This record gives sequence, structure tokens and C-alpha cells, in this order.
Amino acid sequence: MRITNNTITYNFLTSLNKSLERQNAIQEQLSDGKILHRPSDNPVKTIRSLRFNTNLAQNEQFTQNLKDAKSWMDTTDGAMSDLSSIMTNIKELVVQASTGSNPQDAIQTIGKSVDNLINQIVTIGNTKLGDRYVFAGQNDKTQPFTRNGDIITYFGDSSKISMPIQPGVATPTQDSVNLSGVEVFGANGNEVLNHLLEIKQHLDSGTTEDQVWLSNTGLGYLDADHASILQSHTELGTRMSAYDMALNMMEGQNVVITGDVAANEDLDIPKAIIDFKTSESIYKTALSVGARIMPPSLVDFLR
Amino acid sequence: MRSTFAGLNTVVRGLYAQQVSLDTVGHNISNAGTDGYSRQMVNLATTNPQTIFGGYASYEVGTGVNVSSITRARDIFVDKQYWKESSSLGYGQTMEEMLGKIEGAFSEPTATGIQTVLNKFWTAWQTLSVNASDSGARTAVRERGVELVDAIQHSTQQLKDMVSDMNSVLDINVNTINQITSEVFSLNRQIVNIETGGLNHANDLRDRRDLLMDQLTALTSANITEDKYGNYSVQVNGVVLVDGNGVTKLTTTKSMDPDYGYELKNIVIAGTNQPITFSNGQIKGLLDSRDSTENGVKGYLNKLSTMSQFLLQEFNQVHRSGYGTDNSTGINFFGDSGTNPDYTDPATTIGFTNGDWISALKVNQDLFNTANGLAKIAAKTATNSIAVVQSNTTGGAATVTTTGSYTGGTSATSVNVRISVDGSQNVSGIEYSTDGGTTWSTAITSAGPYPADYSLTIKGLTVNMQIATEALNADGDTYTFSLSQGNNASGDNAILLSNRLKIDTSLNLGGSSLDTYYSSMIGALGIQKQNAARLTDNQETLVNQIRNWRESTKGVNMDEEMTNMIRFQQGYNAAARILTTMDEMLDKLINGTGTVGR
Repeated sequence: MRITNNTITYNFLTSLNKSLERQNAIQEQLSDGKILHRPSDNPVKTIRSLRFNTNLAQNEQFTQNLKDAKSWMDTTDGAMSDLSSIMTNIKELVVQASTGSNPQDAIQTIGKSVDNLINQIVTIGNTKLGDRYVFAGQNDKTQPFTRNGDIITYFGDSSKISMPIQPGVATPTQDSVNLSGVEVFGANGNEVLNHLLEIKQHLDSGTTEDQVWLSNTGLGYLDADHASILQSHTELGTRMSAYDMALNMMEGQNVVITGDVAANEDLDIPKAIIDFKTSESIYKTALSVGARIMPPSLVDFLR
Repeated sequence: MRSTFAGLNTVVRGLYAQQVSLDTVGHNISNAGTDGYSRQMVNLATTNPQTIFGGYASYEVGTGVNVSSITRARDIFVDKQYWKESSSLGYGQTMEEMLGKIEGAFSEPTATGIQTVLNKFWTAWQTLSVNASDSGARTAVRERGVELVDAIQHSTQQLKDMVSDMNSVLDINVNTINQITSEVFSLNRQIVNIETGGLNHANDLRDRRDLLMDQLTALTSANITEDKYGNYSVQVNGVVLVDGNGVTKLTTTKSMDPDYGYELKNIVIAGTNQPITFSNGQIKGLLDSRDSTENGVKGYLNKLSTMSQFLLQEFNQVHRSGYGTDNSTGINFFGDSGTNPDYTDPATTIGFTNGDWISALKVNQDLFNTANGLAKIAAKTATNSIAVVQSNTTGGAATVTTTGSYTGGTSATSVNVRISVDGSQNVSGIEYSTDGGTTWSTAITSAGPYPADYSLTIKGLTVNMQIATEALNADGDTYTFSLSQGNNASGDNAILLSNRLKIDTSLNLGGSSLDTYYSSMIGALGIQKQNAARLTDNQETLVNQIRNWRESTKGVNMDEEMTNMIRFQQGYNAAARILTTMDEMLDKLINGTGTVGR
């Protein structure tokens, strides 16, 4: 083919530009260590990048949900332990009061102690996590227990609070994190409390008949109530260990997904730098060759 | 007998021919870098010989050389090929550029792309499902909603801006075509004038005309033919833009896109307003990347519209079915407030164009009401069901539901309701007390027929009370329950809403979830751009190859020109030397002879 000066110029410029383009692409990748900057860089990797990042966001959110659920259950757990020991305390006092040798005023004093302990139970019933009452069911912004003399009213409800830890619908029986007042304190959220108040009244009165009532019905109430409190506590403990396992799993998955994200879009830097150096040297060679080859022609030799 | 001075003439012709050839070498070198220039050649021919009658026979004596023509080195077939392929290149380059701009409008995959915003929106709903009573979580949901709307509207605006850019480029292109065709028309005239008789060649004018064709074919595919007089006739899809007789001017008219209301420039023939179609070149590339529903701006606007429609119809539907902390229901999350149009109702959306879905997409203004906006975010699936305690456990069970906003502050109000019963144990009336049974009110706002559905208003709440069976009701039975701000902590509808965004599939979205729909749209965009880039790259290689072929015919090679220069210079020198010889001969003849006796 006949080669003309313009042919050489065109071809030189075309290949010079190609080499610059390649260098520019590698430079863009090196500048932030990512191989994806627009969908057309690699459509398949782009879709995977979108999906992995979505998975990552999902995993992080469910991990957060789990942590929220755990702190809720930890708070509940602490309150339940306290409640249990107060119940034991009360039982000790009642046993002491129901032994026949106590004078009436001693029993009445025990009544005062029990009265204070009931107040403590009400305080525990009003345990808050942040600004949410943990024993109020779903009515968690309203103080669930109020004591007015010898009437304790429960303003919460018996609904479950669910915290989703996986995609899909939350099922209250599986995913619930709360114990409502009803679960802890029996019907209407105040059955146990009413029993305690009744015991307190008998202690306040402190007669021999009261002592008999205490050793029969009173202690019976206490045993049954403590047993049911322990049962709810155990139930909570089981759920807590399930959530612990779920949290471990989520954290493991997080590592896997983060790895996927990195493998998908992170640049192989050593390879990129070698590519960059290669294309740089190609570019430089092209330039120097261009500088040498372009001008000489017969013109240079005609004098 | 030949003339004594005949040889002088021969030599003069030779000198002249070498001179013209040298001039042409100079012209070639001067124009070596000129766009569209084709190398010119001087075609030399021997002049007619002189017949000399000699003693025994006649013989032919050459009389020298003549310049018969100066012609261009050009291959019209390669030109035609170049014109055809440069149209395709123009198309491909435009598509590649425009798809690149569409990619820019979505800026994926980055931390600011719509996918990230969608994830944040989902995260906000999940957080709300765990902390349904937390007003911070509610605010986050609302603001993430605003962010999502902004992201979609922002991409929409960028795409629309692209359309107006494209329109102005189309205008410029039409002007360029008009300039080219009128110049071609005048060149046609000049070329035909010069070439009349068939001897002259209007080389430089033809170069200029062919260069104009190079420019025109980048814009659009054109069928270029030359008639017997030398006129170029240029046709675009059957419309003659220019020939020997005249020029057809093009112009643009405005119309409006029926879906999005942006201005469209349409190319028509000036005067008749008859539309003209383009099958290739930059113009076709612009029109396609503007109007195509597959890989054009319009197509991507349609996809954003589908997403907006999904949010307005299906996402809203789930939100509408839920309840806020104030027990409000039927509230849109996205869209208009006030009358609460139901976007799934055809009556509301009749006549909705694709563009209307996008412009209707905003977060419901009602949710920004500082007094009760956040309470209207529907995080739960059921209204307040209130636990009712009965004094007579064998009596008719009652269910209580409430609507309205509780004005009793953060403490709950305990309510007792006492019924009176007639002889046949039908409920004959009710009264209620909010102070533990000290005072009783009979202010019952409404009572339906039996089984009675009583409605009472207590501290801002409308309480609906249904007493289920009559059989065991006793006179004076009481039902007690408490009223409060409501069951705030249930986030089950927030879970359903977040599922709507990530998991649930929709027929509107072609049977995929919103996430999948969006990511496959971005994937398709990437593939389209990659394809366009690859095709353009190939086409560029092809066009470069053809340009090299063309160059190999028409291009100026300095070595060649220098060689020619030497050739013609030496030719000139030699002819001059012959002249000297002849001069000497004549000198001898004139001055050296006939001197006898001097």
C-alpha cells in the first residue's frame, strides 16, 4: 500500500490516543482502588455490587435489630432476677411472720417491710429501656403500674413486641422480645400484686387468724406466683440464647459478605500498577518513536 | 522541409510542461495537510507530430509535449465506502456518548446512587419496626422517604436536561446540513461550468465538495450520486437534499412529549413541514437515544416512572392498610395529602401518564405536620385493641376499639363502663366513669341497634364499644379498660412495608421486587453502553482502515513529491540545455557561416 505522510500521522495519533485511553482507565481505577465506576465498566460485577451492598445493609440492619432485641431482653432479665429475689425475700418474711410465736406488733413491722418490697416490685414493673417501659406490652410509652393505696393498676397490654431478625414477617410467638405485665404478674397484670397486697393487709392486721391465713393461703400464693415468675424468666432465657446464636451467625455472615464485596469490586493493585507501568512505557515509546519517525523524508536530505 | 526554428518550439513546450508539473508539485506540497485535499497529477501528452516529406518517404517528427490535463488521484468507490461507514460511526459514537450520560444520571455504583438510598429507606423501616414508638425512628423513615423521592426526581431532572441538550444539538445539526447543502449546490454550479466540454477538471472544487460529503455523512446516511454533468445529488431516505437544480432546506418544529411534557425537536422539510426520517449517523443516534423506549432517555424515564408508580400504588397500599400511633389509617406515605387519593383506584389515576407518576411522587405533606405528622406513619397492622376486664365473667364479652388522638398526656385514663339490662337481658343503656366509679356520665354520642355498638368520646378518643352477647348480661355489669396514647410499639406493618421494598414481587415491576427491578435496569444500562462502546470501537477501526485506503490513493507523499520535483527540475534543466545547444547551432549557422570574404 502506498503510505503517505497523512497516513502515518493518522495512525500514529490513533494508537497514541488508544494508549492514553488505556492509561486513563487504569489511572481512574488506581485513584480509588475500585474497578467499578460506572455500570458499563462491568455490568455483571455492577449488578453483583448492588446486590452485595444490599445484602450487607440488610445484614447490618438485622444485626442491629438483634442487638436492640438483646439489650431489651438483658434489661428484662435483670429486672426478672431482681423480682425473683424480692419474692424470695417476701417469702422469708411471711414464713417468719406465720410462725406462731410472733407478737402482733412484730408482724405489723414485717407488714411494713413487705409494703416497701411491693413498692420495689412496682418500680421494677416500671423498668425503662430508654424511654420505653419494658413490661407494658405494646403500650410502651405509658407507665404500666401505678399504686394508689392498696390498688395497683396495670395500664399496659398483653401484646408482644417483635423484632425481626430475618427477612419476612415477624411472628410474635417466635420473635417477641418482651414479657408483658400479664405474663409476669398474671391476669390483668396485677394478680400477683393483688395477692401481695392481700398478704400485706393480713400482716398489717397481724391477728392469729391472719397468721393462719398467711401460713395457709398466703404462702400458697407466694409459691405459685414465684413459680410462674420463674417460668416466664426461663422462657425469656431460652429466647435470649436463641438470639445470641443468631447474633453469632449474623456476625459470621457479615465477614463473608464484606469479603464478597471486596472480591467483587476491589482492585488488584499490584496488577494494576504493573499494567499502568506497561501502558506508560508503551505510551512513552510511541511518543519517542513518533518524534523520530515523523519528520524525516527526502526533504531532509535535499540540500 | 522542416522549419529551422521548429526545435525551439519543441523545447519551449518541454520547458512549459516541466514548469506546470513543478507548479503542481508545489501545490501538492502546500496542501499536504489540507483537509480533503487529493493529490493532483499533471497528465502530459506528446503533441501532434509534424509530417516531413523527405526524398524517399515522409516521416514523423515529434513536436514536443503538451499538458493534456491536471487530475485528482481519487477512488470514488473507496469514498462511497467511507461515507457509508462514517454514518455508522457517527451513530455509534453518539449512542455511546449519550448512554454514558445516562449512566452519569444514575451514578451507580456509588454511595449516592438510588440503590444506596433504597437500602437506607429499607433500613429506616426496619429500625422503625423494632422501635415503633420512637419518634426518632419515625422521623428517620420520613426523611429517608424524602431522600428517595429526591434521588428519583434528581435522576429524572438530569434525564430531562439531556433531552434539551439533544434538542439544541439537533438544531445545530440541521443548520450544518443546510449550510452543507447550499454550499454543495453552489459548488455543483461552479464545477459544471468549469467542466463544460469535458476537458477541464475542477479538482480543488471537487475536493471541497467531497469534504462536505465527509461531514454530511457523519451526521446522516446519504445516498450520493453524480450526474453526467458533474452535479452531486444527495438523498436522505428518498428526499433529495441537493442536486443540480436546487436545495431542499430542513428545519425543526417543536412538539411536546405526551408523557413527560418536555419539548421535542422534530426535523422536517422547510416549507412543507413534511417529516424526514434518518436511518443512520449522529442525528439518528440523537433521536434514538432521546426517544427509544429501550436504550434511550425515554426508556429510562419510563423505568423511573414504573418505580414511582410502584411506590405510589403498591407501597402506599400497604401503608394505607396500616395504622399510625394515633390510629389513623388509610394514609398515603407517598403522594398527595388532604383528600388522600387512593392511587390504586383507577378513578384517581385515570389519564395518568408515565410522567405524572414521577411528578406525583413526594412524601405526603401530612406527615410533616409538627403536631401529629409522625403519628400518621403506619407502623402497625391493627388498630388499638383494648384489653377489657369484666366484672361478671359470664356476661357478654365486649370489644373496644378507639380512633382519634388521645389528649390525656402520657398517663393513661382508666374507664369503667356500666350497663343496664332490661328484662330479657338486652343491654338497654350504658354509662361510663373516668374516676373509678365516683361520677357516671351518660353522654353516649351514638348507639347502634342491637348488638349495640356504642360510641363514647373520652379525652379526644372516640371509643367504640361492642358488647357481644345478651344471654348472661346482668344489670350493673361493669367493663373496665384503660385508654392511653395507644399501642405504640407494634412494628408489624413496618416489617410488611420493608418487605414491600426488598422481597415482595410486583406485576408492575415485571414480576420482580423493587431492588431486583432497579439492579437489572442498571445492569441493562451497563450492557447497552458496553455494547455501544464495543461496536463504536470496531467501527472506528474499520473507518480508520478505509481512511488509510483512501489516503493511499489521494494522499501526498513528500518523498514522492521531492522525487517528482527532482524529475521535473532536471527535465527543465535538460530542456534548457537543449535550448542552449540549439542556440549554439543557430549561432553557428547565423554568425559562423557566410563569413567568407569578411
